[in-house]
Amino acid sequence: MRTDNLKNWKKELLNCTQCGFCKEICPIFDNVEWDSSAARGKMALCYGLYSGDIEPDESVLERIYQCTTCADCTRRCPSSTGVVEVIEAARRDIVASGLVGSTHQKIADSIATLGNPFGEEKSRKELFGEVPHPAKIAYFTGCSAAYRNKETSTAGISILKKLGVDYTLLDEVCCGSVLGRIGFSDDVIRKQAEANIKAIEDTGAEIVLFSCAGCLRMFRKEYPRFKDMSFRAMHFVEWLNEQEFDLKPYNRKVTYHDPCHIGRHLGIYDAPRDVINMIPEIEFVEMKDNRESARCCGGGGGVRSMFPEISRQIAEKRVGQAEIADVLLTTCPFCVNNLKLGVSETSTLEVRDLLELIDELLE
Amino acid sequence: MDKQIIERLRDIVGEGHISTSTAELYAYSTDAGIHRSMPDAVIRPKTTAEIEKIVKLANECLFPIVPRGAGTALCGHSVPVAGGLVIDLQRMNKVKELHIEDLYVVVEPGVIHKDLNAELKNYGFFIPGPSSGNVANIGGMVATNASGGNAVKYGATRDYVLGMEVVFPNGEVARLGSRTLKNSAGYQLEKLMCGMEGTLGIITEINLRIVPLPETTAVAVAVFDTLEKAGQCVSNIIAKPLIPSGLELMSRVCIQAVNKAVCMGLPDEEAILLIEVDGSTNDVKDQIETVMEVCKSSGALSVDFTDDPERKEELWKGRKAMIPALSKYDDDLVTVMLADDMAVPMSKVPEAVKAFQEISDKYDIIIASYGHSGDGNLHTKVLMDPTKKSHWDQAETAVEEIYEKVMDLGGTITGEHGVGMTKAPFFLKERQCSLNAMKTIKMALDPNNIMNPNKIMDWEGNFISHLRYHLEEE
Repeated sequence: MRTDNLKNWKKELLNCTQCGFCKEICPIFDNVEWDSSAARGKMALCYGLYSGDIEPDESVLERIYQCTTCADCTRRCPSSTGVVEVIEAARRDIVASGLVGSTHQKIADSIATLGNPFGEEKSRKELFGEVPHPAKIAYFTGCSAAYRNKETSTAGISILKKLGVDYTLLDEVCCGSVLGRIGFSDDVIRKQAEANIKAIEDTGAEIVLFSCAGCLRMFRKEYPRFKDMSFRAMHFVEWLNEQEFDLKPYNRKVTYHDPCHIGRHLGIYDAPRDVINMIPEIEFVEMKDNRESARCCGGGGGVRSMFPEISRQIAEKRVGQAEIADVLLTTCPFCVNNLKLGVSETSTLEVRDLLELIDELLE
Repeated sequence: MDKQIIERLRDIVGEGHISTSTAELYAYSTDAGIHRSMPDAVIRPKTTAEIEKIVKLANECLFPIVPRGAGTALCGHSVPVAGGLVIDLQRMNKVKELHIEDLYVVVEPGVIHKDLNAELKNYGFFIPGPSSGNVANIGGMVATNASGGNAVKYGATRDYVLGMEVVFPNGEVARLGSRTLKNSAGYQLEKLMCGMEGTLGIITEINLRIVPLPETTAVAVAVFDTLEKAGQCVSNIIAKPLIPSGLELMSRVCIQAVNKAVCMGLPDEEAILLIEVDGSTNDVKDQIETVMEVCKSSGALSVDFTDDPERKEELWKGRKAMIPALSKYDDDLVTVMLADDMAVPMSKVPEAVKAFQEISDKYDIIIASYGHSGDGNLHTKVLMDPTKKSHWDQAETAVEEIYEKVMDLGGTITGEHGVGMTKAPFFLKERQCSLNAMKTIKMALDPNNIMNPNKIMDWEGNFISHLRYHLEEE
């Protein structure tokens, strides 16, 4: 197997002392229970691939792809080892060696031909009926909120209209997050980045709003590697936190799930909580694990497409923590979808994107 | 191990609880130490009856068996150096009985230390343990006689073991010890099992003594311009008499590493002591006053204390930041688990730390020293590139000198981690007078030598063996 990418992470491969502290929090290990499934087990397997100790057989590939890239392991690691970076490097080597799984190849093919991972044939323009135009603020809806959770993008658009903002939608394509997470090369992701940056710069937008944690992470952490950007990428809740508006009272108990990709990956913790606390009469409670130590929803890193049952079990545990509230709010359509799968039939817990609630309460 | 044996093992534990996959064999070929050796299979039993059958099969077919808890041991204890079957005990994770009024609990070996303490906290009790307690299993803690920073006051795991159920190497299930706090009934075999590192049997149930949680704690930080003064201060505190619940020493390399990596702004002096006391509010107030007074009279440049929870956390921050700081100390070096938990008589701590630094300078290798100086337990972290043979050669000589010095000072090569593979060559020197007795016990209980073979007193050769790192061209 090729190891071009893993070779760049030699220091991190050696930095992992195999102490096992990550076993306490790794959401995959929590469900799979075999030691190879914990972050340190996967680090060991990556070292095995790097050193040539082992071959990438089915059992090894399965474990390398059983990582949601939540990065809770790095927070817990006494040596702050970059586990996600190593796992993604291993996945890039796996894909480069022609060992990509059929589910993931299908996703990549759909992005290459249709611009979204779902095989949806309608473009954004056709979907929303809005033509991109010059404006100071652009809204990058992302694929999930466009094709799967349209209520979230509808809420985002409605908020902008209610606040009288001069906004534009974009002729966007998939941000490439899913490609990066499952191991496709920078060359593939660069194409997505260049297309999206061009689409934004064509509108002259100064601020681009995101409702998807994965998309925002791409713009903030990965796109700068490919191209300079002349605009500011903000999560919708960060922007809302800087606006003035009145909201109707909401007399229910809510809690908030930090999506890993804007939480641990980007450090956005206060803005969503500040926005929630703008709502009159709302009762906000924190789950046991919150902010930096928030548990993963189980949906990321390609796990949901390849291992749906593990993904659902992780969601079930996170939802279990949220049962202290009536409503579980979050700020990522991917998390919304996965968390909904974790709600039991007997539960009355409602899972919603914060944008939808804000739109509902906006005067 | 042939297919027939694997099938017989599968019949014992059921489908899904035995694996011969590359992923599992490789993941279970190492622990938190420096060694690697591949097992033939990994099994995850749920009951004592299953373990009994597995051990009997091992005796019949003569394959090695290596019990394993969370796999957090640091010296290759659970590395299957002779191949065979790794027995992962993490599924046996029930707290079976709580007898708060009788001051003991009964647990399975796979119970995580943190989980047990979370349950005991509801009743105002706890069991002390190692710093890996958030993941370490009770069975592993017993088998290695693990302990941590509060051992100076609370002792090691052995001090909490009242009794246990064990499957001996011949498959016999035996009950050792008792459920009572006192017991003078013959040989204390339950204590013999503490520190046996899986070589004398598989622990399947443990009766543990519990102790009340202290009402409150306070932490003092004292800064010294020489290690000797810091060491003398430790002795002065203990001799007062005052037994702190924690007494940590940080030497200059550690202080500089922390400052460099996380900008802690700790005083750039030779030594810092963190001293924790616990008890009732009044008791803690009295103890901390005594600590402050002793630190000043021992020549501390400065001394400060707090009982504020946030401030206490802040004060411990530097200590906690040390390990990550050390791993980021140099772009080309990482921390490697070598010579990491020696213990010397408390009064010898300064001499030991000074000697470690001299050895570090002599071999041009970075060795950071810190530790639970209150009980004479010292940690050193060797920073090296484990893919370079020259680094291993340097480390080998340095480690050998460190151990020689420790033994000269009347100390032991391991205070809390155990022997396993990494420390075995030096253990053979330290305990040469009792090796025959140990080997006789091992032979009597395990005549077929199936239980975690070739470890501790049966080790042969150098510790730089079965490395989990690949050496690369320099």
